Amino acid sequence: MLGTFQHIICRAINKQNRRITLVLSYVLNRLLQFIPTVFGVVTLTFFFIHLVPGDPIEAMLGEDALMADRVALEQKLGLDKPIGTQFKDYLLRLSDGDLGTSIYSGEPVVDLISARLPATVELAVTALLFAIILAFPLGVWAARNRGKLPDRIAMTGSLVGFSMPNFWLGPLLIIFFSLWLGWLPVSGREDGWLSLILPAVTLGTGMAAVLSRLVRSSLLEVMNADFIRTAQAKGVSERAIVWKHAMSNALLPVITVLFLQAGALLTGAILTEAVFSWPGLGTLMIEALNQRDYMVVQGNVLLIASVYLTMTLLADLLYAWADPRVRWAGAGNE
Amino acid sequence: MNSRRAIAFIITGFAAVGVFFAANMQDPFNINLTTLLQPPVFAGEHLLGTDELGRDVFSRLLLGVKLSLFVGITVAVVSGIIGVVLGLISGYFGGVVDHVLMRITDIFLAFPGILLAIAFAALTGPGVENVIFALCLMGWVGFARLTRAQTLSIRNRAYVQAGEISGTSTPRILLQHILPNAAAPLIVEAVFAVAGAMIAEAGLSFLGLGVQPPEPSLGSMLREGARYMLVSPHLVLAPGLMLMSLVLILNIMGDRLRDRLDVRL
Repeated sequence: MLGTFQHIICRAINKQNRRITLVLSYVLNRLLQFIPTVFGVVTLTFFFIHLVPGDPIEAMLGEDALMADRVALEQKLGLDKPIGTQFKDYLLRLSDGDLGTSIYSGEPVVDLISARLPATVELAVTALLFAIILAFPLGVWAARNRGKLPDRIAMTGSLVGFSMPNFWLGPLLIIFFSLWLGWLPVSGREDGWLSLILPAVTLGTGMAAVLSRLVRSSLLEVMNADFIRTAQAKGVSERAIVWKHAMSNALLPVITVLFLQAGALLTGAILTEAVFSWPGLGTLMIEALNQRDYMVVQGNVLLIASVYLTMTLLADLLYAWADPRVRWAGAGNE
Repeated sequence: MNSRRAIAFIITGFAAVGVFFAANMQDPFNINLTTLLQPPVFAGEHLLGTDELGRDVFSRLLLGVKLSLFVGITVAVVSGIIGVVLGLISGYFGGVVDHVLMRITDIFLAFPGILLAIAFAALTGPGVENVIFALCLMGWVGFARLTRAQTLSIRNRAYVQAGEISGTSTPRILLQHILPNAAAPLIVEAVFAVAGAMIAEAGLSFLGLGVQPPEPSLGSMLREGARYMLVSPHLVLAPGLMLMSLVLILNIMGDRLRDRLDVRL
């Protein structure tokens, strides 16, 4: 199907513009793949509420709820209608940007999410910055001293960071910096940027571990290339070779992974927020889980998955834009 | 060589400590309100102290490790088998089957990390079985992708074609000709999968979605311990350190295995 589509586009545009055509058809291909995936994610989240074993209404209201309340809730959620109609209604509501209303508080899910979103974005962006600031020098340091002590230290450190669950690192940091030293607040978001430090470090450490390994390995790969040897032969300083010549080429896989990780940060934020009582999407999700407020859970899951999907798409497109080999290969298959 | 020896040493050390203390192990469920929140005492009655209900932390820790390993290995094996079978079918037959299966994996991959497991465990209610089910639900995808890629690269090799021509049955080709040659990266993936499932189980239990009290899990011990951080930091330190060590060992094993088997993941 995609092949035919490509063919039509290829013919429609002048042969002289073949290069542009190939890029365009890669982008279109990727977008065409995106649509069924989004639809699949939407469908899967719709069925969440129907996966509840037994009666979802009973699970939400408890066993000794009044019959009238049950019927009211069932009607409100539309669970009394045939499943096809329910799915149609769900899609129509989604297209209006309506994620339903919270059973617990009666507020629209969209409002609840948008009230909590800034805190999570703030946390995720700071964690991302922390990871970048830590990972790049560490990765470069390891690559420049390959096989020597600094390399071992950096790579062991990253392995430890990678194996450290953030719901343990968080309490550790709290015990050390908040309880023993008393430098930073234990939890919450009231103390401005001071209260941001520990959650961001907790969330960013795992990512820094992954990134530093990647910076190291992709730098090492580039450092073997001919143009690096040419630069070395010309007498360019080691520092300039690493940071100017090699880094610009090693950056591509790193940036791609950054995009992928940015989506994953949102999930990591759920556990981190739980540790620090950070008033973001994660704590909203946990509150909703405890209150069996499935509409809020559903909206949250859908939002995180959509962000992640979009990030993946952007990563792929960025890769295609920056690396000609990808778009040629993409246009060549099928 | 040295680090391998170190790993062996650490594992043996863990096992020895476990065996030594399991001999006169305390009852992990015995509530004793006269001895609550005691600090760790070496060679005392409670090696790692007691928790908020006066229960022995060390014996609870051992039970938690047992559960953690059980969940990790079960999830890796079950999701591994499902993923390998689907990946073999997808890669070998291609066509519509492949297309449909790959779109399904795309959908599952759209949920980052343990999000899907969190949502699923929340819906089905807490409990070990539900945690295992939720983790398998997302675990098979990686195996399926990897097996498919391997199968694609192997299915046109001469020995596979020779098997086809000589009339070998398809299951036999898949299981005896393709699978053994695709196994190396799968084994490495399985080791990382055990580590991943152990962290995920602890994460779910930390959120209160996993194992239910009084049954101990490293995650639920962390959750309960976090409330007494100020007075008894050992309640947080012990289970976390244990979990991290186990995961670290598995990750080092995976790394070594990857270098040894020379695979790129």
